[in-house]
Amino acid sequence: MKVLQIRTVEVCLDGTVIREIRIDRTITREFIGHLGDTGLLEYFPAFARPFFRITRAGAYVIKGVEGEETFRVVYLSDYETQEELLRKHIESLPGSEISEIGP
Amino acid sequence: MIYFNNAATSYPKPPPVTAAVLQNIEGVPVSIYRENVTGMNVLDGCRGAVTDLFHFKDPERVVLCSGATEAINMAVFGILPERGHVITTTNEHNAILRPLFHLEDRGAITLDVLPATSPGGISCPDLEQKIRDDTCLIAVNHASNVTGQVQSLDPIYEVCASHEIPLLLDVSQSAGSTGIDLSGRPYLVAAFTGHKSLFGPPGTGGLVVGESVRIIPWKFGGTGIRSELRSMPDLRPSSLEPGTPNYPGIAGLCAGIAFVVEQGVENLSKIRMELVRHLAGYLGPAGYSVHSVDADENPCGIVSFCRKGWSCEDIGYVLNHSYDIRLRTGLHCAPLIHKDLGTYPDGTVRVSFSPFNTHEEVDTLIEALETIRGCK
Repeated sequence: MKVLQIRTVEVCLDGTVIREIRIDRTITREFIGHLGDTGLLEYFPAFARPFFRITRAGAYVIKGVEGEETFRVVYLSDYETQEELLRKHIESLPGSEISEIGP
Repeated sequence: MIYFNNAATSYPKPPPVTAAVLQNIEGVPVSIYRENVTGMNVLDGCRGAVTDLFHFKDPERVVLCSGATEAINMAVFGILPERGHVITTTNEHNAILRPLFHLEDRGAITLDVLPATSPGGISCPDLEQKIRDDTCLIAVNHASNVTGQVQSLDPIYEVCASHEIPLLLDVSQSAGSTGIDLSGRPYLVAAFTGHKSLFGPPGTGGLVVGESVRIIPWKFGGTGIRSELRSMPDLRPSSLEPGTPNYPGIAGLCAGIAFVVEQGVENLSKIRMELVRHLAGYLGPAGYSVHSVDADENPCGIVSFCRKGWSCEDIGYVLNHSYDIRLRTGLHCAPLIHKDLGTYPDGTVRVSFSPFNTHEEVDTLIEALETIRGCK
């Protein structure tokens, strides 16, 4: 798994920074589970394409949709450090299973 | 793809708009007097279309420019003296707020901001009460891009005119969505944009200047006439139109206005209002909090809503990425109104309809919202 590109989507009034990360393959459930290792994972399979949100308290919120090649990260603080840690995690081996929530 | 972001930029454009842009861009550009030698003078044609649309008499008082933002800056910086007092409202888009805040921060003006979201709109007694001896401009959004509420022009204009104060009216959302009569209003200056309900290309718009309002040039440069002068020629509208005009865009705008006039503003609004009725009829009962006005008062076709437990940003993300439904979330460049509505700083999810949208598309949106509703 490789990160191909990271771009800033928005810098908000409250100091949060929203960045979009493009990876070298489409987002799978396995990858979502891997990302979910970094925080609290919420997975919504009922949508036309499943939506996921991962919250790492005080650090960031990741959101994305299965089947796409990009996802969004809202950094709540110190985005450069958090992003580097996240990049390393993304580029490490795929991870855990996930459980479904929602209808 | 379903497109519900027409309050930002209308899509698709009627075919004659595309054809007009293409025809203009393929034609010989300009003659010595900036006329398009392939046919009618594009600028005069567009000024004529604007005057017809707004029932305005004098095409020479129609200034064409890149859109409402430029038109508003032209008015704000061209009308205001060195010192003065300005009144505006919480309804305003940043196109009005930021120039005024800039002048306030520089100490050039003092500013009063009136609340504007009550059911009756702006309170004219409150407006009257704020007027001072040095009040030199009143700036009001005709239709909110967040709630769709249309302000009643007559009583607001009467207050301004009775004090001989120019009224800067931002008709960005309302032009093409509701009938606007600028006739017999010498203190009115209306800023419009081409790319919303007039179906023109982005980068088009203008300012309609009432005969009692004087606007000092704000930008300087070539006009194609009186080139020997050091200053801008004192000729309308050239004095306010330096630089090469956006001919293809203006040709497209002219075709867009012709489409609106041909179809009828009311007929187009009726389609939008029915779409609003359809969506709003689902949202409230389904537990979404709706912040826009009822369908009968909503010719601009704007529906703003939120859902407890979901951020607007997440709703927008799901609709966009999972259902390919394009709409807008957040503050919509109008931060103050969200403080009135209690939706600051998250904002709202905004659906904005075009007459080209269908009830089937609304059903698809409702299906997606119903799934969101089911997620705990």
